[in-house]
Order: sequence, then structure tokens, then C-alpha cells
Amino acid sequence: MDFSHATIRTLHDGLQKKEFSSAELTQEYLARVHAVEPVIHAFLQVAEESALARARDVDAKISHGEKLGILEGQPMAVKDVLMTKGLPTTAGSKFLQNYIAPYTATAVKKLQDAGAVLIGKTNCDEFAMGASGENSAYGPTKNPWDITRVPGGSSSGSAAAVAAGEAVFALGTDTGGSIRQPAGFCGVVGLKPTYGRVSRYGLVALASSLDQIGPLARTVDDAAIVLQTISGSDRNDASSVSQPIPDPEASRAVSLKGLKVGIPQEYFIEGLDEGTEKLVRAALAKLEEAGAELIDVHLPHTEYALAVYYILQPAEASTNLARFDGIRYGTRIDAADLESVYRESRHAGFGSEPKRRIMLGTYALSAGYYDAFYRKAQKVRTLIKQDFTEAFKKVDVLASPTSPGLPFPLGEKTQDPLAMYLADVLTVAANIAGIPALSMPCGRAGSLPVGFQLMGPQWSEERILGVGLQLEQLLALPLHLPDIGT
Amino acid sequence: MTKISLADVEKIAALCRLSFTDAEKELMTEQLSSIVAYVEKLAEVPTEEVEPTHHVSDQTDALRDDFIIPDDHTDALLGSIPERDGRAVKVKTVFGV
Repeated sequence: MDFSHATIRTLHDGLQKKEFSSAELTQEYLARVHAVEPVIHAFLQVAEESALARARDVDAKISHGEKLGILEGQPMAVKDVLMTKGLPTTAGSKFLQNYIAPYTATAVKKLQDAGAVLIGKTNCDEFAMGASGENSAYGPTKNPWDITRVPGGSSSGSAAAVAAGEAVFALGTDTGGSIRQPAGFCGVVGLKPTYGRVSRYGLVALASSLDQIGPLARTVDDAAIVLQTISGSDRNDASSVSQPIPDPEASRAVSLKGLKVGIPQEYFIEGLDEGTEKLVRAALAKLEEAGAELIDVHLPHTEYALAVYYILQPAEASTNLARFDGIRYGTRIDAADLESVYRESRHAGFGSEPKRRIMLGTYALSAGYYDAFYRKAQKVRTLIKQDFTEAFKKVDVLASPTSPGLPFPLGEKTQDPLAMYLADVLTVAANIAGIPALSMPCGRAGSLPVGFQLMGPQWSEERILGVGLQLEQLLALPLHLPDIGT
Repeated sequence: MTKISLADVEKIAALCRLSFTDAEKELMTEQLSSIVAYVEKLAEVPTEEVEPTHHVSDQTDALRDDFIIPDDHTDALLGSIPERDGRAVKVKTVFGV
């Protein structure tokens, strides 16, 4: 069997027509996992037995002639910041090395209820803090297209697993670009939904006002199918919002004729990689040829977005990570008094990036600095959000590169946190404004994939996915798997 | 420009219950200084008339009826506690004698 061109719909057809069983499909993906993992390291945990048991349940349904749901029997991977009952959930941290999740995150549960087969938990930057995957306490994931380079982060393992053919699709999380940037670096599709679209229940929180869970997949249609399944309000997450569920069929109906595509001038920044800019502009030209109208727009506060992000996100992270105290779960170092138990457990459990962000966030929230940093950042957040509101009065979607540069060599930015933070410069604003944003492949600079970003107003996922579907057809990039020397 | 000093790093570390070696403190001083210098560019944006955004969604309250939702994960939650006494979490003395 050759699944190198597989999409969710083709696999669904194959299962339904009994061309292969779900157990065979799962075994095939597990075989690929075993073959490439020694090189790629996309997974922290492979759940072989439970995956095969689940697949056999689906096969029983097929043999009884029952009609399958679209995701039924399809192997998926889940970022290890999402709780999966009975399986380790480490968040890429030593702090949770021996932690077994007591319940399952809503987004994962919805996929499991839809019949998807969980084959494992994916590697990520510790507590989703990073843009390269190198902050994982369990070693970095490699980019499947060039194993000397990073896959992006923080959803490093999810992006690499999908790109390397180790899973049909995956879940990631995006706080400032952590789905889109690795999707771009690994040549797959990644969607950060509108804030509130997907329940965050069961997610190990990084920054609660910015975090969203979303799909990584091989095609825009695949991402739309996964989004439909995981969307919806949830009584266990008061920030999840009741809105109509995005329908992949509605995305198929989106037309480029007369569509206004805004090109934010501030996103074509000095220092933008030349190959990246060329491919993004070529994709824009394709949209124009197909009937879209390209309109230059300005988002004047763009240059402040990263500064806003690196105040709000560490501030929220330092608050969220206060719960890691060695008392209720995770690493505990015994010491003479309570204060020392806290300090020693946190010292032993956290890696250097979480410590840096806890320090930064605590500083930004501390007496004397709160107004100058945290409150100021919340005010500029208002201005960034208004920039988008104004832009979307003139255009239907905004298009830009996903990242300012190509996947960089492993180790290149690990000693310079600020340089690493700059990798998020084109993705953070969508989180700050709470709007949906899609990254999809638009070609290659040499062997390295380049991501194309589409942003839309809040709750416009059907539209940006629809534009993505059209662009995907116009670009007609081949679906293939990297040769990983196996 | 705000300069982060070694004393600042020690004070913040005490607030957030982290400990560092002397070498780590020096590196943290340097790295925090460069990050803070970067984020301080926000000072140039006029915001006197701007309201802060705490939350991006227009949703205000998410209310529901007060009812008991049964769950089955209490034992699993108890199972992950490093030190306990039956169904109670054991901690060191909180108030000194």
C-alpha cells in the first residue's frame, strides 16, 4: 500500500470500499513511525496497542456494513500539551515526566468520538515555549525535509509527523504562531482558529488569552474537516464561544472572483527572506489571475505586535506555571520547608526557557512595572486589534508570508532568545487580535518549504479555508513524502 | 532605558520561587535586559485615550445553571499527588511555630 498521496477523503473512501482495513492503515502508519522516528523524533510516546485496538473496532463496523464517519479509522497524532486519559502528558517538560493525564482534552475527545485513531503524542517545545522545537526537554525534532534544520515550533512534532507521513493529521496549539510557523517550515497546512472556536479544556495552558488548539494536515480540505470536528462551545471552557460550526462544504463554495485580498505592507519587512518573498508574491499573482483583487493595506501598529506579545504571553505564562509547585502533581523535590519545596521542585522541573519567561512575566507584573509593561501592552493590544478591524472594512482576507525566513539550522538561535522570538514576528498579531489564520505551502526555496499566511476577521474560518482551497488548486504542488534515508 | 540588575534578578527569582546559580543569574540579567530593552519600544506609542484589551472576544459572561456534573477522574487526580495521606494532600508546615 502506498499512502504517500493520502488525504482524509481518499483514505475514507479506501476504508469504506474495503480496499484496506483500518488496522492495516494504522499498521502502515506505525511502520512509518518506527522507520523514521530514530531520525525525526516527532513522537514522545507511541500508543501502538490502543491504536490497533481502536482500529479493529472500526474494522468491525466496516465488516457489519456500517457507514463510517469521515475521520473514522484515521491515524492522528496529538501534541503532548493536550491531555489524553491514561497516557503520559509531558508538555515537553521534565516537570511532567511521569505524569499520566487523568482525563482527555475536549478537542482530542471530539476526534476520538468521531473515530480517529490516536497513534501517539508529539514532541514540542517545553510548555509550548519556542519557535524551533529545540526547547523540548526530550531532545529536538528534525525537519523531515532537511534533518540539519529545525521543524519550527512549538508544535514541532505535530508538523514533522504529518510532513513525514507518520500521521494523517495532527493537533497542535498556537499562542503566537506555534501551529502556523512549524506548518510553514515543514510544508504542511496549519490553522489557528478564532479565539474561542475550540475548547481549551485539557490543554496545559501557556497564555490563556492567546492559546488556541488547531489542526495540522496535508491539505486545506483535511484541515477544514478536522476543524469542523473540534469546534464548538464547551461547558468546561467558559471562553469557548457558541458560533455556527465551520463547514468544509461552505469553504468549497468560496469564489476568488471579486474577492478582495489585502496585502499588509508592514508584513513585507526588511530582512524578509528573498526566496520566501518571491514565492509569496507568485502565489498572490495566481490569486489575482483567478479573479481576486489585490489591495495594499496598512496595519500601522504591526511593529509593536511582538513587543506586546513578549509582555502579555510571559505574564500569563508566569501566572499559569505558578501551579507547578511540587505539591499536587509532577516533579517534587523534598526539602526542609514549604518554600524550599516550591523552589527546589521548580528548579529541577523547569528548563531554561520556562524559567526565562516566568522571570520576564513576573517582572512585567511586579509592583512598579505593571503599568509600564502589562497595562501598556494591553492598550497597544487594543490598537493592533483596531488595525485589523479597519483593514477588514476594506478587504475580505489578508495575505502574507508565515515566517520572515526559511527553516534555520539546528542550534543557530538557541543562545539568543531574542533572535528566536523574532521568528514569530509575522504570526503573533493574529493571536493578539484573536483572529483566525491559516498557513499553507506555497512552494519551495531549494528543498525548503515556504508558508503562505491567510488571515481573516473573527469567525471567518470558512472563508480563509475556502481561499486556501482555491490557491491550493492553482498552485498544484505535489503531495509527496520526504526521503528520510530509511 | 530600564536596566535589569543582578539585584532585580534576585528579587524576581524570589517572587516566582526560582533559584539560580551565580552564572545563571548573570546570564539571566543579560538576557532579560536585552528582551526588556526590546519590549520598551511600546513606550513610544501614545495610549492615553486607549482602553486596555483584557480579552479579545465580545463574550462577557458564560453562565450556566448550578448543577453537579459527575466525573470519574477524582482517583486519577489523587494518584498524581506526590505526597498524600489518604485523600488529603500532604504539605510542609504552612505557618511557622
